[in-house]
Amino acid sequence: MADHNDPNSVNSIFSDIDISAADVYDMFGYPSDATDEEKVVLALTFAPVPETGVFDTDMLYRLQVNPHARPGRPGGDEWSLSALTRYFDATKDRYLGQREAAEIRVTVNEARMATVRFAGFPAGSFTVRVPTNEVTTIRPPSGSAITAYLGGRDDAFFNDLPGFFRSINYAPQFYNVPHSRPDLRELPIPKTLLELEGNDLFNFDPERPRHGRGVKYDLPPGPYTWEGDSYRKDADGNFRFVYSGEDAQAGINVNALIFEVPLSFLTERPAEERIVNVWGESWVRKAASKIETIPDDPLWTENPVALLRRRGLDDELQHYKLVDTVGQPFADAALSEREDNRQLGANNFWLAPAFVRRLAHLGWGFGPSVTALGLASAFDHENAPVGVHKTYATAATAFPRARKLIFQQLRMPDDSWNKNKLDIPLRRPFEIFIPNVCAIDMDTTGTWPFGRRLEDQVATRFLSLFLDHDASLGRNGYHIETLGQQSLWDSAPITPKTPPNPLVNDKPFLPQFPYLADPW
Amino acid sequence: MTAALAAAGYRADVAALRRRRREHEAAADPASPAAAAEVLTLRHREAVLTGARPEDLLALADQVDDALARFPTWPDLRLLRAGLALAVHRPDQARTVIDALPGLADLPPGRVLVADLAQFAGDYRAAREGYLRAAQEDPQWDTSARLAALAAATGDVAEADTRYDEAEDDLTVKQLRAFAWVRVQRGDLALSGGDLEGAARRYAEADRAYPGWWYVTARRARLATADERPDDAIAAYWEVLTEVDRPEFREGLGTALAAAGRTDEAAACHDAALAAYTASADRGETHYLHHLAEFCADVVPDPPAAVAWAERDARIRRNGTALSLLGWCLFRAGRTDEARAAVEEALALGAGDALLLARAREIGKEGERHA
Repeated sequence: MADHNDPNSVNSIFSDIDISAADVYDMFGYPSDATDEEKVVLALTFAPVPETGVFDTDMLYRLQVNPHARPGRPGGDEWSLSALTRYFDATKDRYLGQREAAEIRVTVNEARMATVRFAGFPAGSFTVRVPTNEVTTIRPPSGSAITAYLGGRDDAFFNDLPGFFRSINYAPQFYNVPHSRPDLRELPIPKTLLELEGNDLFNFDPERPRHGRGVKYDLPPGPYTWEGDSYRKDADGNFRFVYSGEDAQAGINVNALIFEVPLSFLTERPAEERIVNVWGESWVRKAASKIETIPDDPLWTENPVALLRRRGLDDELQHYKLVDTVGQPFADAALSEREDNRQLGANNFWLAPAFVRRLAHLGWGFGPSVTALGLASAFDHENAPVGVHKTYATAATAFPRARKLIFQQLRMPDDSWNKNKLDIPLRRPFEIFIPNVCAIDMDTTGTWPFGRRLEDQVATRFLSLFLDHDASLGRNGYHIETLGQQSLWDSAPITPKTPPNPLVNDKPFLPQFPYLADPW
Repeated sequence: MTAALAAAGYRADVAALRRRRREHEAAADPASPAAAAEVLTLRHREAVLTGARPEDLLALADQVDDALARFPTWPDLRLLRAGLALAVHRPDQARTVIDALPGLADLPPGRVLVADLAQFAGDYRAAREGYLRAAQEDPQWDTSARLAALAAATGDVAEADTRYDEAEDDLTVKQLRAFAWVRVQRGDLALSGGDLEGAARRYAEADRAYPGWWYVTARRARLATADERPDDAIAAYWEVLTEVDRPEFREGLGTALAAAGRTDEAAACHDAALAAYTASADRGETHYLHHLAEFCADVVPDPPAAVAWAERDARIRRNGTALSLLGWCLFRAGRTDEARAAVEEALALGAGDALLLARAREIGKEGERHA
């Protein structure tokens, strides 16, 4: 589950709330390996509710697609807050100007037949009905066929989720937290990749090895802060890693919408529009739809962007409520603090200041861990010997520390991603996460952050944001796969000696459509 | 609430809730405050859903007190206990429970409860501020519904409608119980404004969304009485009473029977209701004081007794509702000047619901006649 901004109303971490089909997990998107025609693979995964291969008939899922030309590098090399603001403003204007993204919309009925509506594509809008849990071919009014699979699969995400939650001291993964205390979810303890000496709430306890991995205890009375000044070390002087490398998603299924779509179906100008933005949404039928009345627009001033979107809804969507969105892995989980009212999907521009503040907050936690391991940190933590829990009220105060973290180019391990060998700039964090879309570059392999392929270990790649990609390290320097290299951990003073997250999925992906492995 | 729970209506919902409660009871670790809170919350849900009988709520409150004695700092238990206290008109207990845990009132659910207490005490401005702040911090459909009820209590029907729209807009088919509840409140609002057709429509919609709920049937029974359809009211009240035996429903049945000319049966029902109300008051309970006052004012008139009960009620909650009732009881007792003072006090608080305004007009007219 890479998208951890599951609204708390559907979040099954909380024990009184059932897992919900509205909980979207991951958005995958990459250029297909098909040789007959340029195609793109799109896959949205979500909770297998009511069961694997069976869809909740009250749900509606949307895959929104917005192709455009590869943008020029914004703001040159100026690493300033005003340059960042200009980028967000320019992108927002362009993006909101194209709010009428094309979309693939899916509902499934009691007979397990899916209605798939394609709207706003060059070939026009049309609707087909297809069976679930079968590979089917959809023929648009013109052009090449689309391949589709709507049904149960193995979860394609492989990740040490408890390790991630341990790194951010996220209590609901480990404890029964009072429902009335949302402030006790992410506890005010420094974020860290290395266990903190005396952080008894979250440090691995050999007496309770499954704590946080399915076993929870009642949250003890505070204090919920940490007053220590060092990392925890064993008798041999080794740090203790908060990650285990275990695949917490092993043996878990998802329901999925998977399409393999000709690029020429998505855009009339496939030669120019090489970036395919895609994001997914889950919507649940409103109660009022049961009695066929829709209330007027609410008086709602909390979230004007969402209200703007509401007003633009078509007749069908007015009967549904947006619950969850997914574009970039970790865009919400790590950067948006899991708040329900931040379910904005691609239109997350208003979160830009929060993005800066949050990155700086994470930097104060992870940066010193990176340094302690002898690696170069992109975050300016003034050589803090251990993580610091620090929050910022404004982006302006947070920005100087996080400047490099925001602006640095994320280096790739080699050139294989650039399959057409074009002059494609490396991506930078601010471009990746805002807007919150999976931006597939059709001239690349689509490996993250140029899209997202099934085999990408995005959780580990996300952590590489905190490395200094301009610093030297061995022959290849730092890159997004640095932390996934076993050799790095073999030589590090740490236990366990493992990359933070598993390197491969629990089940091999398929070489042919639908690519995600069969369900367990 | 899960899809399976809500989609099938009241009976399936209750069955699923009971099943879930039993599962939690069987698995609960007695040393765990989270488990205790979960079990007690499920019992509370079940008690409210299956009748909200005060005796059940009081018994549950005792259980929560036991849990609080073991886990005094678990906030969910305190919020549950405070909510129960307010449900049986014990704001003093609610306040004590909240105050005992520093910081609880600053959490969104705590803030909502404190706002409930303010509304209960007639401090509508503080209630509104509290709800709005809670809604800003943690938007929830039920906070919108509370703001709607507050707007109705202060006479702003348009805002009440808007707030109910907000609440409904937030509810999905996974929450049809809650949706039906909101529709019932909207029906009540329509009924209080004399829009019987609108009320009937809202109640019918509630029933369609969540069929079989006695709570909706009770409203339809009251509407039938107001609409002078006593036979329909009698049938509906009998239906409710087979599910939930509460004295106010016996009173309602008695009134419908009286309207149908069945005076002996009516008297029996009214006697039973009065006996239950009085027994509750004799036990020192406060939740039926306003029922007693209304009963003595309008059902089986005994104006001095009505005034006495209303005064006791108003000592506990000096809000628009209680003062309105006190004014009405005083008026029925021929104490018009005092009646006017009571309703003026209610209006000065900012209260302005339709019933208060109607009573104020009636009392004012009588006052003018004597001037």
